[in-house]
Amino acid sequence: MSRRDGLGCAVAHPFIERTVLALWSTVSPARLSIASWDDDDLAVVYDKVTGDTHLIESSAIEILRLIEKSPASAEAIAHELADLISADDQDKLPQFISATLLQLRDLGLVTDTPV
Amino acid sequence: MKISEVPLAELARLLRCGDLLLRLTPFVARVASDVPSLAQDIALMYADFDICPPNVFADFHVQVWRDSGVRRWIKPQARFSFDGQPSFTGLPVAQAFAMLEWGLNWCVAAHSHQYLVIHAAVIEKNGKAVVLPAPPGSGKSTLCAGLVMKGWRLLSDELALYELQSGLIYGMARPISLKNQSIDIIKRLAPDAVMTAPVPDTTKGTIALLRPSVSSVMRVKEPVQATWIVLPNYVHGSPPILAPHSRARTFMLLAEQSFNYDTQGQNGFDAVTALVDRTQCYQFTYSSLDDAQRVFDNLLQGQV
Amino acid sequence: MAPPRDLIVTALLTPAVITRFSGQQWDLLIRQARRTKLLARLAHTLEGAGLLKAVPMAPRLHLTSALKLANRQDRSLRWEVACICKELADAGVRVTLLKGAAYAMAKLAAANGRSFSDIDILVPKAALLNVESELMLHGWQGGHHDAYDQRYYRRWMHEIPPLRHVRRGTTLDVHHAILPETARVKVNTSALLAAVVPLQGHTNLYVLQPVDMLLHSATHLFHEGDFEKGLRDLFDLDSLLRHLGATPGFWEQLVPRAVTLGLTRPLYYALRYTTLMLDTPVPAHVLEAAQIGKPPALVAWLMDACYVRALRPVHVSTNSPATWVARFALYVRSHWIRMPFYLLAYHLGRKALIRPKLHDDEKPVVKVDLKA
Repeated sequence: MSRRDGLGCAVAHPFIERTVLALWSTVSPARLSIASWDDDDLAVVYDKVTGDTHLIESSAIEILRLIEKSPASAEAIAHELADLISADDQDKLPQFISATLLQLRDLGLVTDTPV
Repeated sequence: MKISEVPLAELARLLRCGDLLLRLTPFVARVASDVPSLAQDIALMYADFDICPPNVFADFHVQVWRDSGVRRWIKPQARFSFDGQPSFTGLPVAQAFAMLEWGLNWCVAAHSHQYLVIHAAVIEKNGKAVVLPAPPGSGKSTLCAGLVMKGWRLLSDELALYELQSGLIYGMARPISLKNQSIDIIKRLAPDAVMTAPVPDTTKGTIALLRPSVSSVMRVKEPVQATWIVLPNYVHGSPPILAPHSRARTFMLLAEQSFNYDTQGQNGFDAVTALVDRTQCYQFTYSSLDDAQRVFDNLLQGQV
Repeated sequence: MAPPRDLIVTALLTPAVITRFSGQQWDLLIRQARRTKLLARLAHTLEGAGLLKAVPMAPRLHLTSALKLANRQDRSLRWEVACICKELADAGVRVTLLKGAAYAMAKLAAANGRSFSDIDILVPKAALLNVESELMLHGWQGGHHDAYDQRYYRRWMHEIPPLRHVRRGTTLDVHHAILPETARVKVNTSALLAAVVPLQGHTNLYVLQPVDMLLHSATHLFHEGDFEKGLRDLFDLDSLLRHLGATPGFWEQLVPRAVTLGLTRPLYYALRYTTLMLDTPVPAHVLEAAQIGKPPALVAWLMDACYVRALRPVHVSTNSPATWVARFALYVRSHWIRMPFYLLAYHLGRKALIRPKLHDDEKPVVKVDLKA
């Protein structure tokens, strides 16, 4: 979410700004194994290099699958996934994606490269 | 030859010499002990198990030796050893059989990476099997014992041996460990149940071991394909509730409750995924074994 | 009179013998191998010789289990080394790996089937504080050692107290020398560090040069007082000698380098006991040159009597009064050569009065409470 400062310029929220100005990708190709189920909003991911197994939201899987194919900015990801969510939730999407990307980065599953 | 066919004196002699070769399918354990009561407990609890001929390969050499010196006479203690290497704590001699059981569990869990070893009970009836993984304190053993006393086959109470390639689960049909109130509950439920005398003051309270049914032991070589994974959740006074459980959460619980999930690497991930894929996953909240028996029979008949 | 060759040694040196083994022999072999931490190495050797399929099913499952565990540990180690390298990227030091981690990353045969617990690195003493603080910034913590242990390590030892990573749970030993400060032999660590070799395909990752790697392993084993890993370490030496012996200049450099570093005594012992107990092929001229490290005749005879017994598998099957005496004598010796007498007396006295702490690798590797 951006807010306008007194001078009428758009000032991006620093939280979002970090994620918007970077290209996100999964850590090395074919490193992650994913298991998800239709009737479950949670999924599991195995990292072949660290040997760790993580419990994550199914929606995060969509993001992983997207950036596994080709690195993308948070904005581009939001654009791609916009079709998957209802109109009511559209405005929450950018923040959700940023939060999820940071979470995935903490788990060591994705990296961001500044543009 | 079965343990029940060996005279007690001979059993005690074999134990003292370290020549008792107990077949705990799929393993063989060579057991040595100088604790007299241990021979009696083994005779009772492992009556239907086989003894192997001498000089066969034993997977595990285990010993329960009495501590020497002052501890031999004053508050006598015994200690579990694995192939001559003692465990760190001695325990009162009265707990010798429980110590043997725990020690054997450790041997299997720590060294058998041909299986994914899951801390779970596994039972079977009419060709359908239920896996009950649960952290300590969830009532798993009581539930398992209750169902086994009412006709379910026991594969395991503690260690489910999941063969990664085939997806089949093996058990050893070994005695079930009960504690505190569970002991009386099971005695009331099945007055004919054969148990060791309760041993008080263990780290887990009073414990007793329950002998598995003869049919369970006879069929120990038959593995199962799991149909259901049920997480037991004992809540005092609760009506029986069988609720569908997130497969992803069930996955994580199985991984956490496996002794060697990490060692199995990618194959472990794939195996647990396959297990969770092909089963129905539930959480079962209950307070009465009668309720549990009904619910599980309904499950069997497809009425959930 | 030297004791007979143990089953695990025979099986590792001449694997083909296993095809004639009885159930009882397999029973003893698997147990000796497990206790000496050589089970995975045995599995690796049999697999390499195409003999694994000839092993009866029951013992074979133990061999393949051990192999599975070793492979997992290898993968774990590689990740851990990568993390440590990243964590020390700004420390301004070369990261030099020692022992098992070095063998694994350098892809030496000594790493085959090895079990890894800790990672050992060597840094210059001057950089120690900097390295320690960088590591702590990245989640490494000192263990819960009492004040005596802390002083003991920092003042007298060649390493700081082991560090443990808060999240990954791994252990890291940071060495600044290969022998304690108080040891009677003073090794020139700068000379070691000056000769390190970079690992191909990695940034800022080094190992000791081949002769130094061998000398370090020899020094470590022949200053050691605990023989739980004695036979495993001897096999490491055997493996290093067989493998590194093929690198150009290795045999020519070995004795002169030992002279430079002041390590002719451990080199003598290393060559003596690998050739004697494991039939390790060492060129005659090297053995002859290494004689300069031989102790006086009486001592040499005594050491022979001790080491051929102490280096046997530490297992119930080899227990005997002679083995016990040999190990005890070498235990005392190891402390003697690590520190001056007055410190030795104090240290041993203190140890005797305090209940010994268990080493991590003695604890069963089980996370769930089995008494449920």
